Amino acid sequence: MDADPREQRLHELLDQRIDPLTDPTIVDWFSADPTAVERYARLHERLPALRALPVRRSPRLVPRFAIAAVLFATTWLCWPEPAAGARPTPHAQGSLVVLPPTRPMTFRVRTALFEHPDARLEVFTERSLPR
Amino acid sequence: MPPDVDSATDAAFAAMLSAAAPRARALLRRLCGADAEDVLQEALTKAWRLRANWDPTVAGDGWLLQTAFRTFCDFRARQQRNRTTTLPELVAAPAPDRLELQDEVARAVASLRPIERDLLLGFHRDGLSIEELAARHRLPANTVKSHLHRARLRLQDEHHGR
Repeated sequence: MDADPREQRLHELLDQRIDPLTDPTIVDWFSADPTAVERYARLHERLPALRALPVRRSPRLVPRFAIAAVLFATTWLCWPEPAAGARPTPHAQGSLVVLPPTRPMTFRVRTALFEHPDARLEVFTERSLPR
Repeated sequence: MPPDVDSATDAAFAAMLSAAAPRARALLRRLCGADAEDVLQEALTKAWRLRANWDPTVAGDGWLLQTAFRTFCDFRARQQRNRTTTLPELVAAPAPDRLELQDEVARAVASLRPIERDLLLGFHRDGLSIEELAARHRLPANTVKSHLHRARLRLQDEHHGR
């Protein structure tokens, strides 16, 4: 379908943010075609109304991660110092669990990195004995 | 009164104007907002003066709409001569204050394809240029324009408010 060149001209003016009613070609067209001017009038009324539509922000993970990182860092920095005597001991507690022999011998070591009356941080590692 | 217009024709003409006035009023409200009633009265007065030119076999609505539009153009030209404000303020449509208008627009926008919606809002709401939209969506500028034109055509469709 071939576009009406006058309609094309109208959109070109809107693309350039020029008021179409300043163009004699458009004014002559609208003066002769009441249907066309009614359609344009609806557009003229509705385009500014777009400004009132809410901006829908797409979820952005980077700012959320940034916020989480800041919260984590703040919590970490504000974490109370251990009381005197309650120093972290690398191997305050450990256990040896013999796993099925998929390998010569594999066991898991549980290590408490930090102990405090109010908190405890543990890690687990698997170790295998070589053949 | 022009000598070739008789009272019966006047009556018919007046009836035509009364029937066509609401459509002309709606048109002028969309074009000039709060000034619509003043412009409409001016258009009706002009139409009455020109009633000798009226062809009863032609639909009266279109005739009055044409008169109303030309009256609006004259009104705008007078405003531009009389005001000292900048042109962008003069040509901008008044801020919509009708909830139903917002509903119409929201429905129209919701019916667009996502790319058309993004480009329409990006251009007319967010003020982005064609080039910025093309870069953002990784499209040629002409493709952006095509989508934008289609979106505007959908926006100006009549039936979103129904």
